[in-house]
Amino acid sequence: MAWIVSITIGVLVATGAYLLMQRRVIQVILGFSLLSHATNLMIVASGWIGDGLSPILRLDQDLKPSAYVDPLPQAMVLTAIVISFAVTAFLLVLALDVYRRFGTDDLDKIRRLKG
Amino acid sequence: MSTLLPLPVVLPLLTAIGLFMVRHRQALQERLSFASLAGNLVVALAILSAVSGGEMFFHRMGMWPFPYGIILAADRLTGTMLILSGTIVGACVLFAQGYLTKNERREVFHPLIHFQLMGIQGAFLTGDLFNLFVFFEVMLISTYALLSFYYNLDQLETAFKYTCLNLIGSAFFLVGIALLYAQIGTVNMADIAIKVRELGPRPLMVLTAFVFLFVFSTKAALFPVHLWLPSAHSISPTHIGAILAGVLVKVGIYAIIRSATLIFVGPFEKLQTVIMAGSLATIVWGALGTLPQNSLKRILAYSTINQLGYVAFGISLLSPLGMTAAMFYIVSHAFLKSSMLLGAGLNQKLTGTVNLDEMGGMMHKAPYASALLLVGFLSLAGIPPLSGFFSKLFLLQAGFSKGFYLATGLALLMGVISLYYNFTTYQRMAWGTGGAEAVTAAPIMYTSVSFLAAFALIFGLGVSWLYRWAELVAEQITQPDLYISAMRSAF
Repeated sequence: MAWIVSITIGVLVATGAYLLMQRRVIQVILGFSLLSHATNLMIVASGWIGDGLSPILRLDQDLKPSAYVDPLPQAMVLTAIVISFAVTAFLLVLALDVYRRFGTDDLDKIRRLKG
Repeated sequence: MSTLLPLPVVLPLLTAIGLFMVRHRQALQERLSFASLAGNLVVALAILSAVSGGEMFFHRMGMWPFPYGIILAADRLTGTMLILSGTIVGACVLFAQGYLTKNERREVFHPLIHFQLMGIQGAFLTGDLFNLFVFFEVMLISTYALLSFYYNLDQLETAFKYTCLNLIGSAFFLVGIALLYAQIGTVNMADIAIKVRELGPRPLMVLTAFVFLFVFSTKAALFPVHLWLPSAHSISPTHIGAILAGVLVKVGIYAIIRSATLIFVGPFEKLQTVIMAGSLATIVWGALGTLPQNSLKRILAYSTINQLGYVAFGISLLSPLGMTAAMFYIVSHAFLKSSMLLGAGLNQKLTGTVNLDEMGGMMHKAPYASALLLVGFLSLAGIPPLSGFFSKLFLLQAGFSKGFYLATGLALLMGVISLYYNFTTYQRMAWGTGGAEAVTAAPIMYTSVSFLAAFALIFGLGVSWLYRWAELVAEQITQPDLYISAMRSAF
């Protein structure tokens, strides 16, 4: 399983980095959200034990704490997701504003307008 | 005492929410905003006086046992930074009262400033690395919005650039946390310090520390991730630029100090060469960057990069003496540079331009406004008895005492360039004949600039007093065991 997670993180980072280098604002924003997904996945993976159970204590079963997945990174990821959601929303407003003003979201053309 | 600790976070948060609710009643909003800023300063003073004896205070949120849960911590370093941020942000908001005209979105300015203050003070107070990330984001999101304040073309571009760079920084912050958590399974700073020491500076831990160094360097505008700073300082509204130069970059510096002295002591010793090389490159880049500029604000922005390089150089010595010099530098530079950026904004308001050649002759047009900047320029240039002279002196002393003759020599050489650019800049602005006519500006702007500029004089004349305090701070932070055992015994 670990290799699937690793490859997913790698693909997300690669795609995100590729999109970041594009000219259109919307592509850059999409790149950032892919990049934040990759980091979120990485945090989840950091507290993940191979075949751990989901971290909900069952009183009828007598299991050691080490049988469960570490819940703390999952709590942290929730926070990180909310933050990246807020930032993405802000960037989209900024992009919308750029588009309304210039009729384009192509960074090169906007720079040319500036002269 | 420790029950006071959440206040620097909770007070700005509640104020910001309240200010949003009364946004249509401007007079009431402003009064509430200033009352909260004053209250904030009182809390900061109370915390500072409590920690000045060397005691540390901790506050648990949610009563989880050590090392779980969110912990707020205050030591001398935190107390100093809280005073610094409270005073400078307050002065900048005062300045904005005169700077902003009626239709410039005042109603969202005040709430956003309080959100920003919450992020800044939370970052100084938290004893938990993930929480530091959260407070960084609170601070950054409000800064993104404040930077794109009037939504003109340049500001839109600057805000976009700043946002993008910091988003990359945030992504790396999370990568760093994931790397760290996978290795030691904790995010509490004291607990990390214990476990990092047990593991020793193995390669993966050094890499993790490097990721954090990179992230904090983006906030502190150190080479090679300093590129956002010049436009963010010069294009953004003056008071925002002054907060950026005075306080926000210091949050990054603060995080580097915490990493070097508490969290990653061992790995940072391995990284010493990297930090030192980075800081020297920052010094050189900042000093040379000022030379071709025509805009007063851009020169000040490059000079900020230059000065931050000096601060980072002090930290990179990893010695109590270097830390003392860095602390002295941080405090004196924060007040100095924010006063100068506000002074530049004042001159901009008077003449309608930041171009030095158009300004020319400010000495006759607006004697007091240009005299205020003269104090700053003399101090930046390192003329005694102003604080800028002593900050460089202590740094050189610390560098030579550690045996880094070449690096310290280079820093000294760049000091000569800074002497040159500070004099020519002031010359072009104050003498000469520029076409721009001076109008009048609100007295409150003069008050806030004078208030901050006075610190250059106070820290220069009362140098032994500030140096003693910097020494006390350095003495406490260079002994991480004090922090660790204090936190352990607190719970």
